[in-house]
Amino acid sequence: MASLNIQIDEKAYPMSVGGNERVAIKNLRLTVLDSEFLCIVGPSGCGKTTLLNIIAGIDQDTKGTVSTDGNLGIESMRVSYMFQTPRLLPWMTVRENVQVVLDKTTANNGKAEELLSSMELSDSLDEFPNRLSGGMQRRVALARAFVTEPQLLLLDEPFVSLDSPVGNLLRGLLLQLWKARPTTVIFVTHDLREAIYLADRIAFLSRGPSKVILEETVPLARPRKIEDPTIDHFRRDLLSQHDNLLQGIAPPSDKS
Amino acid sequence: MNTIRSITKGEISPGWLRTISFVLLIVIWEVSALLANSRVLPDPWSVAVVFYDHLINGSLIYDLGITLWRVIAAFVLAMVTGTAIGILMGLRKRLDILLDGWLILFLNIPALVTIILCYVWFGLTEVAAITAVALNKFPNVIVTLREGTRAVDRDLLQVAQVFRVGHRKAFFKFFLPQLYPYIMVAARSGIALIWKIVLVVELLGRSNGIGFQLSVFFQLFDISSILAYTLAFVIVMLIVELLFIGPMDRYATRWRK
Repeated sequence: MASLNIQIDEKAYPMSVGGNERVAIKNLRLTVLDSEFLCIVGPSGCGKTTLLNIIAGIDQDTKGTVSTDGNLGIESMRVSYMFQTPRLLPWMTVRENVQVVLDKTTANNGKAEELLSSMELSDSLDEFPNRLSGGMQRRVALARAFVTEPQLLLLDEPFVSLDSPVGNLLRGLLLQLWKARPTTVIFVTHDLREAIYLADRIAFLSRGPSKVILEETVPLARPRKIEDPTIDHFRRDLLSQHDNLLQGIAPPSDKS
Repeated sequence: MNTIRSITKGEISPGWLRTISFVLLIVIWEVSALLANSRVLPDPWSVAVVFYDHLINGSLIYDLGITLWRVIAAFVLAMVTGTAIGILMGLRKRLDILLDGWLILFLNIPALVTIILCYVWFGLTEVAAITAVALNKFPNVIVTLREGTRAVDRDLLQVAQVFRVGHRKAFFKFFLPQLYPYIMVAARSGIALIWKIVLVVELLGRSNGIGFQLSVFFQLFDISSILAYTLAFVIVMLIVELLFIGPMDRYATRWRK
C-alpha cells in the first residue's frame, strides 16, 4: 500500500551571510517497506530531524526525491508527524487538539474521543494541555498522529525527555496502536536500545553530512518486552561487530 | 500567594479596596469644591443633578449615541486594516522594509494634523471624521501586530502543514490564536485613544456628539455640564470594558490558568 523510497542527493544549509554552506545530508538512500517499523539511529546533530522534515515535505529546499509506490510524491500519502516536543495548541482542549487535524466530516464522528479513551485520556478530554503532565501531553500528540489513520507516521525522538517508566509506557502504547492500525513508521532516535525494542529494521546514519552506513534487521519476535535480555544481547553483538557505530563512523568491513 | 495571605490575615478584599478608592475620589472632589467655592469647580452633587437633567431633558443620549457610533466605526476600521497590514509586514520581510518608513512617519504625525488635513481634503463630513480618527490609531495597531506576527511559533504552523489542514484552518486555528494577546493589547489601548480623539474631531468639524456639546458648554462656561458629559462617557466606556472587552479577553486566555 505504501512503501517509501528516499533518495536525497544533497541537503545544505546556508551558513551566516557570505559564509560557507553546511552540508547536512549527502547521498542518502533509504527504502522503507509497507507497514514496516523502521528506526533511524544516528549521533546527535547528524541531521535526523532534517531528514524527517524532508520526508514530511516541510523542508522542500533539497536536492532529491521522496516517492511512494507508482513514483508518486509524498503529497499522495497521508502523513502524520510526532515531533520531539508535543507541539499541542495551548488554546485548545485535548479533544480539540486531536480533532483539529481531521476534516469537517470526520472531526465529530467520535473517532478522536474513542482513540483518546483507548489511551486512558477520557477524563482529560476538556483539559487544556498546560494542565497535563509531560507524559500525558505526549499521549495526546500520539493520538493526534494516529487519528488521521496515516499511511506514513514519522516520529522524531518523541520520548527522549521523559523518565524511563513513562517513556516505556508510551513506547508500549505506540506499538499497541501500530499493531491495531498498521502503517509505515519511521522513528528517529539516538537510543539503540529503544530502536531494537521498537523496530523491524534499523538504519544507522553517519555523522554529518549524513548517509546510511548500515541497515540491520531486528530478528526478535514480537511482542517484545522492554526488559527482555535478548534486546541487550542483540545490542552488544551489534556494537561488538561494528565499533564506533553509534558515533556515526562507518564500519570498515562493510557488508559487500 | 496573595489570596492565601488575605484569607489568613483577614486583609481587605480587592472589591472593597476599589469601593474605598472610589468613595475617596468623591470625598476629595467634594472637599476641593467646598474649599474653592467657585463656578469653575462644581461639587459632585450639582454635577449629578445636571447629569440627570441632560439625561431626561437634553440631548445627552443622542450625543452619546452619535459619539459611540463614531468610536466603533473608527475602531473597527483601524483594527481590521491595521491587523491585516501588521500581519503582512510581520510575514513579508520585503514589504516590511518597503512600508517601515511610512509607518514611522504616520506614527509621528500629530493627531491634530491628521484631523485638519482630513477635513480640508475630504470636507467636513462623517467619512472624513471617522477616517481621521482611524488614521490616528492605525499605525499603532500595525506595530503591535507586526511584533506579534514575528513572535509566532513556527513549530505550531509546521503541525498544520504536515497534517495538511488547509490554509483557512491553518490561519484561523493555528496562526491567529497566537496573535490574540497582541490584538487585545491593540484593542484596549485603541479604544482608550480613539474616544479621546473622536471628541477632538467632533469639536473641530461636527455639529453633534459629545465633543461638539463640550465646545458649546465651554463657550457658555458651563463646567457642570462638561463634567456631566465626561462622566456619562466614562460610564459608557466602563460598560464597554466590563461587558465586551473583559469577557472577550478572559475567554481568549482561559487556557492560561
